Amino acid sequence: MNLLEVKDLRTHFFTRWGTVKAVDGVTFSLKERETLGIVGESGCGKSMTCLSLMRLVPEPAGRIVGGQILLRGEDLLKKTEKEMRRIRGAKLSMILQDPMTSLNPVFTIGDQIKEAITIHRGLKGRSLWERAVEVLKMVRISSPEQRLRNWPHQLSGGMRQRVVGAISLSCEPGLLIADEPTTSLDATIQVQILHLLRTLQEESGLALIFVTHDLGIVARMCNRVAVMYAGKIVEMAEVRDLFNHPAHPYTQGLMRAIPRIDKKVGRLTSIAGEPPRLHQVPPGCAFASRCSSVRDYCRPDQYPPRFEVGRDHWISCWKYAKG
Amino acid sequence: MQRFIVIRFIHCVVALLIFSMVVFGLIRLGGDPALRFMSSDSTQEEYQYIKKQLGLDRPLYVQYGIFLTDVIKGDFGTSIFTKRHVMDSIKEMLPNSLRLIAASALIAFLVAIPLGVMAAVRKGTFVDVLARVIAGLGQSFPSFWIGLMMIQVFAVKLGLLPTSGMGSWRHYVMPATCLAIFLIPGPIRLLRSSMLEALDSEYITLARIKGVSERLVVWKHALRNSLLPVISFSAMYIAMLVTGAIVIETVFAWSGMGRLAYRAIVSQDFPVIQGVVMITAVIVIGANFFVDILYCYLDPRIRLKA
Amino acid sequence: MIPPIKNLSPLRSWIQFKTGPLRGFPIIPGFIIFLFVFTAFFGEILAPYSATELNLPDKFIPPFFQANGSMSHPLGTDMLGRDILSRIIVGAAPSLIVALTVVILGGVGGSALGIISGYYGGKVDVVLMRAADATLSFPIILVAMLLAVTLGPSIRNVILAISIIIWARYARVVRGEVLSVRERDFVALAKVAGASGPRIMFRHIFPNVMHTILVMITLQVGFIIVLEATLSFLGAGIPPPTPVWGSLIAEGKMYIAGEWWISFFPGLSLALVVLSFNMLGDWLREVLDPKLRQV
Repeated sequence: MNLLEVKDLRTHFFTRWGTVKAVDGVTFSLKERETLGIVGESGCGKSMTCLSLMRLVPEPAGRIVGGQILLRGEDLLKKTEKEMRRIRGAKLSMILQDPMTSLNPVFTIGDQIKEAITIHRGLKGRSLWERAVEVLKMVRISSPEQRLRNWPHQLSGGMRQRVVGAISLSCEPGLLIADEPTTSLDATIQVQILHLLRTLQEESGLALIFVTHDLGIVARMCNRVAVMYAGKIVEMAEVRDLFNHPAHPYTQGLMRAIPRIDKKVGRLTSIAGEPPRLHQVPPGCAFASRCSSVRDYCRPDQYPPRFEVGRDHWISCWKYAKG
Repeated sequence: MQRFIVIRFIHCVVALLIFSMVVFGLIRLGGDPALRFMSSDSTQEEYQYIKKQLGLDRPLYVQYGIFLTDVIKGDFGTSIFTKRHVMDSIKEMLPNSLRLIAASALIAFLVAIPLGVMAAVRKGTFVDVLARVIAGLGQSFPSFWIGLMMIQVFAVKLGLLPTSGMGSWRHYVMPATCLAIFLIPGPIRLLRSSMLEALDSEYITLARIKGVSERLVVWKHALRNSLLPVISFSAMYIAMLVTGAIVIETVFAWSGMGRLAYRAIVSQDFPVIQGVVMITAVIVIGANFFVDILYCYLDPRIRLKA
Repeated sequence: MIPPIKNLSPLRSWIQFKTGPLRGFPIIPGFIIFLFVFTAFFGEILAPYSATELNLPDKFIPPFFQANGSMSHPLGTDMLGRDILSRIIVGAAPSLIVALTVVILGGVGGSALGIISGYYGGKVDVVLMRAADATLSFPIILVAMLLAVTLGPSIRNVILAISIIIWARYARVVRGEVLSVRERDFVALAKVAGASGPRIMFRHIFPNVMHTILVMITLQVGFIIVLEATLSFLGAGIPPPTPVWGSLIAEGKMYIAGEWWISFFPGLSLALVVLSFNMLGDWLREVLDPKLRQV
């Protein structure tokens, strides 16, 4: 059985200007030890998908309105809040984008790490402290005993992100969701963090969902990739396949937009237009207004279903409709 | 941390000195200072005596020196009205004021903190509206008028509580509530907005990711951060407490510093006013000093810088 | 970007305009304020009776809805036979005068100091903000009392004392705003173009903090009025025979057991006017702030 199966997940926000369909029918699966990348522009729903998986959608404005999230066969959407709290941190966990604000400024690093461990493992006193030191060592932080007594503002961005990683992994969840963990970091630190994640994955058999808008990271880190647009997944493939044979016009556009160091390019291409406002998503293909391959068969009133275009590679596009 | 305490202490002393100079200056501005200590039946000899005491024939800085030493000794002269030593009256009345302030502060905390927190947590619901209405009304309605109306309703009409004065716990109810009403709006609003900000931040999301219960997320993780701005505003709240206490004591005939001051204004009893003003200054500045230290201790970002 | 959620409208604003730029304008408070200003201007003419003449035979007449009351003195009379309604009407003007003067002296002055402090930074900033903090954390009512006893209570002293309390608030808040405006590009452009400090402050910074100042003014007017009333109540404010509302309440204090209306109606007027100003200020803040954030 797959570690994670997400079926037709829908998360909507109810606002004065209409219903925002942040996550609109997302379906994917994840195996043990696999790394799935989710790419897309800002606002396409990647972050909200992650929060939905954790069932941390900000209420009362937002709500998960449909679908299933099967973690090792159990539907998370059917769990009570109390049950979810036992699952969060222990079975699945998350690291956030901005390390400068992810840590509570008025508690020490030690307190924040120990809290996670106490909640799920019930350790106390000496063994709690030892486990916290162990966890810091796991994320390759030097002088961990010292660090436990530090406060967040005494640490650099890269160190803080490691601490966040330590907190999230302290109870050995099987699945880690990383929501743009390196976006706010310097390039050199980025590499270190990515390397760390890779190592942790190998050491503990972690499955990883990696959200990013950087295709370079995707190429480096992921086994499979899902491309999101306007709240839906428009293409999903194994990483090599995606880069070599991008099928969806949006993905193709993204690929074209990557500056290449091996070829001389006169002008960088970009995708014309803007993504639709999420409270005004058209019923048909959301990309149609910007698509260079748009045709008559791109029905404006119906969303394109999935089409297989290769082994383990599907897209939502009318181009590939048969018949 | 030590250095911080010492520096702050020096600030306090400087502030007190500046204030004493202001008071000194004001006295001199209003005409012959010696007359201030006179009552209608004072004699020429007494007048000359006072002049000598104040050093009015000596240079200004000597006069200030005399003034300052008197203040430090606690010698504010004799009340024109009651003929008692001002310091004695103060020693008698001050504890009463402190008791009233303590009772009000307690009520204010017990009301403002839960309301402020719940207003943020349940934003948009009844609790939120209630908190904002209470804050709005509390800020608009003058406390002395509310006090008088409370006396009318609860003491006169319903006979539940005594109309004024001190004595039993019952005497505390209306004055302390009135003063609390005056104090509560500020902290409620501030707490509400800091909580809203805190609850929106990433570290709260991380706490939830860890699996922390919502109760702890609000009352431990968010509140600890949100209280910091409230504490840093405490200086202003202390000033409000003192101002309010003076007014409330007048309304409820509470034998505290406020009542002392009021009677002094009415009878133009200058020595008493001088004493009340200086002693209150010392207390307020001292209280602010402690609040500063407390804040520095509680906020790790500041504590380490100090 | 997700648009914000619709807010449940607070209980406080009663009837409102539904749409347009004046959406949500609190009508009843606005009307009360208008009434207040109108009364302040035309008080002497409007008042049915003299506010100060004694009329002992008519003392302690209760308000019209109680037994022995009549419509000739709708809010009753006080211990010297003076008509309460007339006294309230005439007492509006001094409050307004004090409020306006303090706003100009303390508010405008404080804002100017805030702009200077925020713009120049450095020593100027430190000194000014220290002074502001000292003022804010001190119960100036004590200084007001001292003034009342040394220099005698007068409208001038009240204005002075309250201005001293008020300037610090404006200075602090405006300085905060200036700190963020100062970093914006158009300020840098002006500097590059060779504009002098005062010019930048006046032409560029001031218009951008104007909305803050405006909101503060509306929110503070209520506070100033209450402060003046408090001082008058304590006898350290505007002295008799001016029928300021604070004094009226003080006069009625000892009759609260029996002739409660002497204190009640002045206090009610005070409360309503202050409440109206606060609500107006709240509305103004909602209107001005979000709009400017969008820019």
